[in-house]
Amino acid sequence: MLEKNGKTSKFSEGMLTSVMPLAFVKENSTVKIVEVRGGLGLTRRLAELGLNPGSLARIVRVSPPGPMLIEVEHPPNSGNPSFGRFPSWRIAIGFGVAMKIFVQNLGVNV
Amino acid sequence: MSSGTVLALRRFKVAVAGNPNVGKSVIFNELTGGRAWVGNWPGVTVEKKVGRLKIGEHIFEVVDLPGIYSLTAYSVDELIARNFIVEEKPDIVVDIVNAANIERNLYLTISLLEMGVKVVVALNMVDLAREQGYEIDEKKLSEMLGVPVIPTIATTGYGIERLKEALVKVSEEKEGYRKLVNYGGEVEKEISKISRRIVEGDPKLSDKYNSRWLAVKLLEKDADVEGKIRLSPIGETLLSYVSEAREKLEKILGKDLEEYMVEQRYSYISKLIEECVKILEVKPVTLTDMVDYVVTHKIFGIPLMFTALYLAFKFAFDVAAPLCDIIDWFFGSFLYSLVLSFPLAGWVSSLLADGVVAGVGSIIVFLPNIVFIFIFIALLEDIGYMSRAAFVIDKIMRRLFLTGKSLLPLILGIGCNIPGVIACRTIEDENDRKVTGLVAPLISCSARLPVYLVVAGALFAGSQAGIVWSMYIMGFAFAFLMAGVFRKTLFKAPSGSFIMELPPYMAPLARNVLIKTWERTKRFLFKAGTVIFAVSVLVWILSVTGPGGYLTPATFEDATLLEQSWIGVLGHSLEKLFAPMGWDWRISAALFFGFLAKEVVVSTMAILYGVGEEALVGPLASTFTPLTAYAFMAFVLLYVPCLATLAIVRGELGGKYAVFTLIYEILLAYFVALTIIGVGRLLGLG
Repeated sequence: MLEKNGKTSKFSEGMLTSVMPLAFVKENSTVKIVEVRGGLGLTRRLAELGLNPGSLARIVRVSPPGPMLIEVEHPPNSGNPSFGRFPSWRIAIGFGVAMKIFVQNLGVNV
Repeated sequence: MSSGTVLALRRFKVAVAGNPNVGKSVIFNELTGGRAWVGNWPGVTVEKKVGRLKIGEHIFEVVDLPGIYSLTAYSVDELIARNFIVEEKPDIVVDIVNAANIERNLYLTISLLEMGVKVVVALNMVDLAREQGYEIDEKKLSEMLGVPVIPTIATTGYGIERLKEALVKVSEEKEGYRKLVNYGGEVEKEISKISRRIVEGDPKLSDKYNSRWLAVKLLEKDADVEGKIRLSPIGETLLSYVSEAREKLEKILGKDLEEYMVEQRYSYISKLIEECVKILEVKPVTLTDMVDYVVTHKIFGIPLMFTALYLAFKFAFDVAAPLCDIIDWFFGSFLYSLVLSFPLAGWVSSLLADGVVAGVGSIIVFLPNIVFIFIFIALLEDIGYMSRAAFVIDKIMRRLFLTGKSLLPLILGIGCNIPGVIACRTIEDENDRKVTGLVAPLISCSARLPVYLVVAGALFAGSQAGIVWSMYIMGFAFAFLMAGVFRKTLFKAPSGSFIMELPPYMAPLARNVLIKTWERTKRFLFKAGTVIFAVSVLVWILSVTGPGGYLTPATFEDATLLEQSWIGVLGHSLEKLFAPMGWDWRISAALFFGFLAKEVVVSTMAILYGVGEEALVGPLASTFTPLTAYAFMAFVLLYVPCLATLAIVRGELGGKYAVFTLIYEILLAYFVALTIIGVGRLLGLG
């Protein structure tokens, strides 16, 4: 896991990470959305809230098998580093939905 | 304007749209001066808020739309907003953009502009954006979007005047479609081809809707637009062409076309942001971070929610108590004796004193309690706590195959079940929405409160607060329980997805809270002035007359005489039904009228016992035992929703569901009351 490196930058994309369902990510980790494996409706809804492939999100609170609270840090295509701390917003996501969102865990952000 | 000419009034339809929690209703109130009226949306019996803004010869009819994230609809609420924008075609849409969250909010702006509607952007909460460390160049943004962008701070009224000016200016402009998002060579080629086919094949359709927008939506598989096209003479050929084009494009792009188009929009938004937003400093830990840490805690979250609600109620009751006493004195002593002192015919003064003053007065007494509950609910909504409550409760709701979203309608129901049932519209999943709508009337509303207070006051002096609170808990418990039962039997389906935005915490705005409270209180006062007034008169008439003719108002002094009245007959015939619970004929009659409005249970008892609310204590203490009183309170909580709520259930879910609600609630209430009596007797109580 990336935590071993201590302070892991959330932009360390080149590092070895595996793709996992969002539901299994720990609190305070930052993730990059890779894929939404849901119907058209779910994909679209998540996209409207800024969660589509490429988005970065921080996990604020987990309560399995309850919902998770995540903070969407920025949607995709805003590759400009100055967006690193761009307006973020909080979304509650049910466990079932979190199982359908596949992410790359970028590690705990200190 | 030269004198003598008649002002030519010009009317415009304006829709206020925006994401949820962007201060939409505050801006709506500012624009319309807080005076709104409620109408129905075309086609559905669903309330819509309309207000008016007059500037010179311009009259703007302003409609407050439910919050939406895009023009794709998931819930009934969003469908209403989308249909209004797409079908009713407002002249102007005021798009409220949260400046502190601009990137995501602009998605709706882009969707609106793509549709070809005239837009004025209100860049709201610019103060909050600056606090969080970024600055938005609204001139540049306005230039790039090609529409006015007005910075506002709804809570202080900043920018509202400029917003009004922009409305006037835009109303003079011709509609102009602007192509903002470029979807790239191949996709653009197909968009123009499809758009041309629509213009040539069905000019009527392209007159009504922008043809480029239709083409974009078709490529995105928008079900609603596909439905429109299907009705067109060119429908089938065009749809099969589109699906071929989509396949071809997906092969070229190597990805899902819809996903690609969403990405293109976001990348356009990124460009806007890059040009128009300056980041000033690094974001500090916000209040939202800190409060959320506590409020959404795994262990403390749920107890905290109930504690907060309990404290709110306790406070509401303690503050309201002296006010209630004043009103009680006014009706029970002052007005009652005043009416009797008038030189009127005996029956007239009895009708006024024993009927109207005793009946209506016994309800108005609780106005302060009810107002304070409404204030607290409005505060919880405005602060942003409601969605957190939904978050912590989701874990429990999941076991019932529901999601946390179902909690909000239930909490709103504490004030009044009507807004509770209406709020079910925000639930996307059809099964979840129906189940929540069916159980929302089980929540203890403020109309039941007078019943608890009177009965608990008579039989549980000293522990009233706990007893009353247990009724609220019972309401929630049965709502959850029945929801679980319905979801597993009648509405068997996988549970819906829980996705919900949690807005940042905000200081509540007095004006907004007061407007909300007033709108809800108005409904209560209206009810007191109409239904309760009418039922009081009816009960009085049925009390002084009987199968044997006119009995005179002496019935109110003489119990045996009252038993010969119509109401006595009615009560006695119902009494058998309630015999196992040990409730007498007066109570049975009160329950009968309580179906019209639950407060009527108290006003009817007040009339039948020939006393005011305060004096009910004596008669009730001798009629009930603590056990039968508790069963009675539970029965009042659960049996039939009031007539108005039932009408709303019919409007929101359909007649079938209203009948079902009526029947299951009566059965449930009877069963629960019997169980309480049975278990209580086993335990040696009562």
